[in-house]
Amino acid sequence: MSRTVAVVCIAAACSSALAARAGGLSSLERRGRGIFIDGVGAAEIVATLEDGVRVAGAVLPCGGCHGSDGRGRREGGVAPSDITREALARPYDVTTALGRRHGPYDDRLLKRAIAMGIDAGGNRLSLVMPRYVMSQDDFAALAAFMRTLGDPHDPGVEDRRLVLGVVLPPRDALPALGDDVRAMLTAYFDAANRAGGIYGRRIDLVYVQPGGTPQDRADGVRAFLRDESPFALIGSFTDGAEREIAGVADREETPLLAMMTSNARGAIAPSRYVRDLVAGLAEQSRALVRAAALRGSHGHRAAVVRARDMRLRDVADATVGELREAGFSDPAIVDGIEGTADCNLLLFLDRRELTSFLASLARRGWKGTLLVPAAIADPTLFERVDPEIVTLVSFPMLPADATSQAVAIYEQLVGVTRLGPAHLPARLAALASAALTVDALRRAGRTLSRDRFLDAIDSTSQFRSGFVPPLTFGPTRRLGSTGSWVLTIGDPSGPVWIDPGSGL
Amino acid sequence: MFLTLLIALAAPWGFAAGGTTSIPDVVLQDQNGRSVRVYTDLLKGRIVVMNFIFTSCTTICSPMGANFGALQARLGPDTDVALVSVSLDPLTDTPSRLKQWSERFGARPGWTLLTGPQDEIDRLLVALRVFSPDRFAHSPIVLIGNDATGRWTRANGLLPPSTLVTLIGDLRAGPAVPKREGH
Repeated sequence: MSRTVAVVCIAAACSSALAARAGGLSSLERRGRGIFIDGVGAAEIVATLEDGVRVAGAVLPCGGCHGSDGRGRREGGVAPSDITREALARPYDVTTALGRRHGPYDDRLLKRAIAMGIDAGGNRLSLVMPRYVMSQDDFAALAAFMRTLGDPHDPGVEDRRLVLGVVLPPRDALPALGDDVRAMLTAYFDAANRAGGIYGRRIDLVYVQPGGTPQDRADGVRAFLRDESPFALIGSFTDGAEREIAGVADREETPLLAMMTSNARGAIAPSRYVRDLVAGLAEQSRALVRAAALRGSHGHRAAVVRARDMRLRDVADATVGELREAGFSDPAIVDGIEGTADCNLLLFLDRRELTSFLASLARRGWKGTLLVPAAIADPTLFERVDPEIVTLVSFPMLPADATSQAVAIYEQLVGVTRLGPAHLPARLAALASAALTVDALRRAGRTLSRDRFLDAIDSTSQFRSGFVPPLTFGPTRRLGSTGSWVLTIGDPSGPVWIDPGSGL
Repeated sequence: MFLTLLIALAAPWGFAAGGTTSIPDVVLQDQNGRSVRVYTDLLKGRIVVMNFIFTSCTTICSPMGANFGALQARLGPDTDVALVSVSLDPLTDTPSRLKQWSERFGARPGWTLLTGPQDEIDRLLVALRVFSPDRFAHSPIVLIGNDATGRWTRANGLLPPSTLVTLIGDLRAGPAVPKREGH
């Protein structure tokens, strides 16, 4: 082989290795990561506890206790060891808090620890640490991945740059809204970058604006994640495709901060990666029921007029339970004006039919209380003032939530972007998502990973972005604001904030 | 050595003389979505082994679940011992989620998993002296009780099934706790 050919071969090999690393991990390491995080290998993996209790490796994966970053996650009085490469390969003896003393691990000692529960110093590991049986190939992959633990290998994180993605509203349905959100977020992070970025990293935003069916939109997001490799999706619009886009975020293990949506997935199906900002229809309906109950529920028969949209069936079911708990008698789900004859409290969930439904109520001379989440409401609801009908409307956020400082920032950004007055709620929600992102990135620290970012989000308590109501997240709370403003149309005292919590 | 220490920590303690005044008869949901009265339907007159878990817990709950699954297999299908797992995170742990979680450990009828309103769960946990305001700080605990004698034992939840079987046997053979006025 000539020297030139050899140099070209080496360059090609290096470039392919770099390409593999740029995606995060090599194929062997990725396979090892699957074993570490999910406990699933190419062959069967069995975990054995004390007394010979055997379970599938998937039940007790390494990452469950040691965390996907290998740094250990203290829980229930158990403090799993730091098993990052740096911690295991320290070139001197280490004495643990429990008094175990051991030297550095090599592959043979690591294998002994995993298979037999004996550390590098010959000591027995904790009772909680299972012993694993796996194939040689799977162990090789696992060891390869474990050698990367402690390396910052999440996509989108570079030494001087952090790439964040934004899913914009679909161009086919909401073109102007997408342009608005893009302009506001770009201006917001331009300002953050001029101030030095975050830990010396410039924030680069990349956008995707998928349209079509919910599945088309999800497919567009999946392709975007694979092409652009953003660290996280922030200020993202998922309304109408919540389930599908959340599924992509979960599968691609990418944090997703959804902006505002009817069906907050974070509340409906808690997900490791998805966080929603403000109350969806389910939470708003709950607030409306609470508000109606405060006016008195005794003797009121209630019904939920459900939507044809299957996505809202869960909301209708949950609201019936809420009505029952609040003391309304025999709450039922009905499909339209039929079936509402004996009811004097109705919660309406069918946006397309609101105008005709109101006309039907008027024709029948119906008297009672009507509950309508704002996303279902249209202007006719506010124009039609019938003294026999008390109408309560819920809003997950109102411009009044914005603090004077936030208003100043907003006006500055509007000046930069030269945007008109439209789409105020979406702009405020996008800015709240951006502010939450910046706050969480700061708290996650310079050594950034998706896990650390999500942990930072989940330790957010009463975060006041100034743009939306205070946000609180936690390991079992994936919806930042669970409350709603409830406005009684025609009531001069104005809206009332009701926060029924996330519920069961 | 560590095992010996764990067993030593499992000293019996007079918990309650049975009855609703000590263990609130809260109504919770089991893994099949059925309403159950905790005392009346699960504990009254029986030997019960209880642990406290949540399905999103990634550390000690899975080993505790695996131990419960193995314990149930050791006790056999005809046992009179009830196994009960109470969710510490009822907001997340729906009945179906609990069912799915327990199936990973081979759960069969006789192992009841409970969720319900947070307030009711908290009432039960406080009464059982296992309440922790931070579920991530909860300890691996198993309570073994014989309602007929009123005697209860608290043990480390990571004890192997063979040790739990021994503790159950001790409790079955043990004397009744004298009932006090007011109980």
